[in-house]
Amino acid sequence: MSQKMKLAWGLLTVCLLAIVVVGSVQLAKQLGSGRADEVGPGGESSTAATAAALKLALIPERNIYAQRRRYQLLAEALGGRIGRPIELVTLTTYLGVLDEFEDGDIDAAFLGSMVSTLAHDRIGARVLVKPVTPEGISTYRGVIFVRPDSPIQRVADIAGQSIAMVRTTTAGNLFPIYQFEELGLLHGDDPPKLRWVGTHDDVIYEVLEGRVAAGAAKDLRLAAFEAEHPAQAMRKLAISRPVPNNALLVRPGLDPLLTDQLTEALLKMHEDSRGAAVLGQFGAARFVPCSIDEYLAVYQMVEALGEDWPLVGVAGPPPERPLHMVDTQSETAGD
Amino acid sequence: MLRRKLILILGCLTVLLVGMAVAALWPLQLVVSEMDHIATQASRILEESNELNRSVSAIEVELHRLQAGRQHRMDQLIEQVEQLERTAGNVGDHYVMRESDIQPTYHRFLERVSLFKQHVGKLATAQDPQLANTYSIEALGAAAEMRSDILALVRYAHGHVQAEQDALSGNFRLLVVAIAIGFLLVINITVMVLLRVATLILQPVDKLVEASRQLAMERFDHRVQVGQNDEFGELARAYNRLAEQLQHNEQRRLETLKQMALTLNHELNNAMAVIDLQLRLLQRTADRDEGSSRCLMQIHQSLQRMARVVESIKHIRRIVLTDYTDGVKMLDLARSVEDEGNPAEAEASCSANRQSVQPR
Repeated sequence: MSQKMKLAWGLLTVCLLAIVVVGSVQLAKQLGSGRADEVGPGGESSTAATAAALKLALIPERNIYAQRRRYQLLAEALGGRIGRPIELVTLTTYLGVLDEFEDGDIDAAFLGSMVSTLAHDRIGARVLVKPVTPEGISTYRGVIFVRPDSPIQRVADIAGQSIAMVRTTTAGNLFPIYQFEELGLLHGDDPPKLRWVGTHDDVIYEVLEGRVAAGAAKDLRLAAFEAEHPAQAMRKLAISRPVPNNALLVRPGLDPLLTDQLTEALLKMHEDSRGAAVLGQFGAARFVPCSIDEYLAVYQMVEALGEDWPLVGVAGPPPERPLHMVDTQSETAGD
Repeated sequence: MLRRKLILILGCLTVLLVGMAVAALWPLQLVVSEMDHIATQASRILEESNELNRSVSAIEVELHRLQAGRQHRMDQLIEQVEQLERTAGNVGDHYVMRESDIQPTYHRFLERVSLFKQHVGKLATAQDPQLANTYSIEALGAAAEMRSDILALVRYAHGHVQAEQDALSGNFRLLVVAIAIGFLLVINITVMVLLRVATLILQPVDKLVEASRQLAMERFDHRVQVGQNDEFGELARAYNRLAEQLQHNEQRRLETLKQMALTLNHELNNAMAVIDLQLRLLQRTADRDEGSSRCLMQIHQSLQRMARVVESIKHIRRIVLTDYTDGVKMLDLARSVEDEGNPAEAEASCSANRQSVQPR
């Protein structure tokens, strides 16, 4: 073999060896980085995937697809902080949550005020935290309203008229029933005609488009609508006392350590930029502690209904106020 | 010269063959690309269209389970609806769905997907059982409508794929025929060219071989005519020069022999004349002695033969040798004077000379 050929073969061999060595090093790096733990500013760890998932339920409100994405972001961030994956469970009904809580199929849930009292009363669920909006609001009120051109001036005028309501919610179900009960409309000759719709936004549009005479919905949703449609502001007939916005409750048998971890993680989430970003996408500025004591208004309305509790349409007995909870003066508008 | 010619001819043949191969490979490559396109793109649209059907079926199952109260969780349904929306979008990205014939159906399908998504969203938020049932029925109805659109899309996709496959088959057949004809043409050209090349070589070789035979038969006047300005031409010229040289040498040898014959003729004739005269005188005195007469007659015949030999030498046309003894050659007088047009006469005179020339 000539000198030139030998040189050529030698160069080729060296090049091949170099390629093999570089390729092996790159492969080793890739394999190594795939196994390395990721640690974020909040102490998140990818080893969260190894622990059993914590099941967090949510009830669809408005756009379920967007809502699920928001909650998914929160769940991922929260899961990293507590070192445990969080699995979202979307349930069809509020009462379905109670069943799943009871069966232990879910560990936590964001619940409305009325269902929170039911969960606390029937299952012993514990209220942990509630979100605070960027405007600093952590509560909402029920409001009964009509179109500005409606002849209805008072809640009592709704007798015999149709009213759009949302089942199993304080603002859309409990409050208007309570108002009608207080005014004796439910047992009168011409009780209001209850029309059930899916969401608080649906109530607003039912009233706006004239399909019903009045509506009962969350004040926050009504305010959001009026902000977008200032020319279509509704006339408010009655407003309830404030109740906590959708709070996080956990089942009674959940590990106390895990409960504490959840609480702490949510209360401190706004303190770092990544957590603040997640909360921003969730629609909150921060979480604050919450307790069952803040649901006094719900208990008061339930107690005022008395035997007419079944008119609310929720199966089972009414929630009983905890013994330590003390009465305060109620507030209503209109009547 | 010849090498250059051969290189040129073979080079042209090679270029022709390579060109033909490239011309065949290029459309084949296009066909293979088209096949690959059908295998991937066309199959993808079919797969995605079928995926739409599967998604709708799964969604319908979930809806029925929700409606029957056997399912309270909506995660799977929501994921399937979102997957359906994504798949519908992917289908729309495909070039088949951009054709004007199917566009209206596809847009209608997208609208129905959006509407269906809204129905499912409403179903998810409906706390009232009756309301939930209503929304569920609406969603199932929308799902059924989507199916009809999906069916139309799938049928169109199938038809399109089939049309592409048929077109590809037709193109492939044409291509095979064209390539076959092309290669037949190339083969014919190649054969003709190679025959021409063979003629270019064999013709002068034949001439040179014939010339060699002529030379072997000592026909030095034969010349080779090769009208090529190459190695064969050079060889022919070399041959001709050799033949000319040999002919010249032969001529010189003949002239030398003739000169020698003249010399012998001159020198021997005088001596033979004296001997002949003396023989005649002796014949007169030896008429009564028969023995002496016979001897004198033999001497006279030998003298005549000698005269004939000398005479023959003067008429040598070429030099032809024969074996005298082992390793010793002598001039074959009969053949050397042989007239190529009358060989019998020369043979007769030869045989008489040959007998008297036998070694003792």
